[in-house]
Amino acid sequence: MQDRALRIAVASGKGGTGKTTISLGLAASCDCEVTLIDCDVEEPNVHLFTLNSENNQSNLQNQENKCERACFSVDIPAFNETLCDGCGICKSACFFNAITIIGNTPLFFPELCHSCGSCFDQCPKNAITVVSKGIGETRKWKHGKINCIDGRLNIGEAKSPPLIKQIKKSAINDNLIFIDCPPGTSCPFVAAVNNADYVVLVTEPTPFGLNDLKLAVEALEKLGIKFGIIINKADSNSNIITDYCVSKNITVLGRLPLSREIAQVYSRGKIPALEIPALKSEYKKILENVIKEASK
Amino acid sequence: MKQITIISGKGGSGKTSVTLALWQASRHALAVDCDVDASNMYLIASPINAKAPEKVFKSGFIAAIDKTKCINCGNCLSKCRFEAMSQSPNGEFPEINEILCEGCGACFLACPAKAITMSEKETGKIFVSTTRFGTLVHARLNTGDGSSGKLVSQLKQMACEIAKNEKLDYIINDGPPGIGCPTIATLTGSNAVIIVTEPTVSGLHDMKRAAELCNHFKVKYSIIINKHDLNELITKQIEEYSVAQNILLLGKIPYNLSFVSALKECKTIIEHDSSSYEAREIRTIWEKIKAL
Repeated sequence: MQDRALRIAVASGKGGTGKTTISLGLAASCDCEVTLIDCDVEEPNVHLFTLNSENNQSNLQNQENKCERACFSVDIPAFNETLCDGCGICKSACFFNAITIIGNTPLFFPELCHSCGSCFDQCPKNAITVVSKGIGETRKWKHGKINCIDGRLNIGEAKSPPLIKQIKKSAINDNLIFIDCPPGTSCPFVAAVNNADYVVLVTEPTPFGLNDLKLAVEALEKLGIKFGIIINKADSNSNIITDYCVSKNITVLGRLPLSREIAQVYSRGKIPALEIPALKSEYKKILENVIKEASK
Repeated sequence: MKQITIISGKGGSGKTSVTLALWQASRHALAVDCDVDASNMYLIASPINAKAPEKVFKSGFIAAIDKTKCINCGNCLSKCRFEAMSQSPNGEFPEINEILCEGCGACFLACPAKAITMSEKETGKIFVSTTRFGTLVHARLNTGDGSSGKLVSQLKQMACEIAKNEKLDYIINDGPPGIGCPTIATLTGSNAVIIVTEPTVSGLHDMKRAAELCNHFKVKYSIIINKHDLNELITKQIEEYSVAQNILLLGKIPYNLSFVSALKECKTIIEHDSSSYEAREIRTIWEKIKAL
């Protein structure tokens, strides 16, 4: 193993292919302590499988209160109207059009702000101060040997990448880190997979699964991150993913079956890799493949 | 003209399959695929031809560095808050990672040698297609790019103009998963929102966050439970939630592999078997949506 932790991201492009189930399954199959970071800050789900054992809503609430929690905020500008002379330098420094000048007074649109800091830096009158705007929270808890971390974006908040970057920075002592990524291939996905040593792409053998897999592959090739594929919900008569992997010379790390039983175990907030005996050895094998490929 | 928007919070709950079937059932609506970073509707609707030339979507900026002008002072490196700048391996000048660059211009403003230029960025393409179900407005965001919310807003604006010209009564928006920027852009201006959920602990949790998002933006929503027989206990919890919140439950669709089969055949669930229970349920749901 390397001198720093091995960071393995689990991503998919398409939503609902089984990222969270597989992240949990891989983390739970490890013999050592591992960290699992839930980077789907818009719809985090890892806590549903690791905080409540009995699928009991009030129990979950109690457990959630026991998490180590911290508010997360981003920097936004505040304008001191007595110092500001309305010169408009901040307006022209802002590439996101988040500042406009009405008369001699700046008007700020927080939803457009990317917290880049240019307006603070460029103001010649020191009329702009940095203030914090809360956009969500970060949480930490422990489930058996899994050290869990997640982030929750406040409802109505548009930008998730700053929170995703924050939870990835959390202090981690484990040698192995799994990162459960958000769906899609745009900025939240990039924020989640960036700096990973390896990405496990989870797909399903449907036209949607294949299409979104191709998009995710394209993004990872641009980012220069190594990856392999798990075919989830696999059945005997679907070779579309296998054919694609062969044509692109992509490693297939493993296959997991399409099964109502797995879906039902998942529906109750249980980890299929731990509940279904036949899956246990499958997950062990996949985990070995993942670590072997990621350490190459 | 009414805008019906379908979201789910959780990915993979069946939004797109349900949207496609509702679109077919509507017989006379325009559809917009608002999941611009992983758009899927066109795969099943298989466009017959382009109705309008494809349009380049530009949004935001990207920084580039002129190595001949760079004096390697390091100002840009310290100003970038997005980890997009790094020293080149030989330490001679900074390099910009195009995917991580947010286009904020902090480096451009900080450069004393004027070695950095900002240029407008092409982030996607917009398509208007004719399909067997009607007109589909869709897009492809370049992989790894941001600004998906702006792209969604532009798609929806184009869709409104087309629907007006064609005198269509309904626009059906298929939303992205999550509750962030592209979902907010999808919700904006909708007359009715439908949350497609599934009876899993994740489905219920994510539905509630999507519901809170609708409340936050004061948009009325109703619910469809997909795969309802997967977990009758949670289905009951969703039903109780809808009663407590005074939300209309539009219908329940069973967990049926015919949805997967239909997808593999590139058909809607109605085309797959128009007399099936699922197909009838979709038609009933569409009638209820019209009555909203």
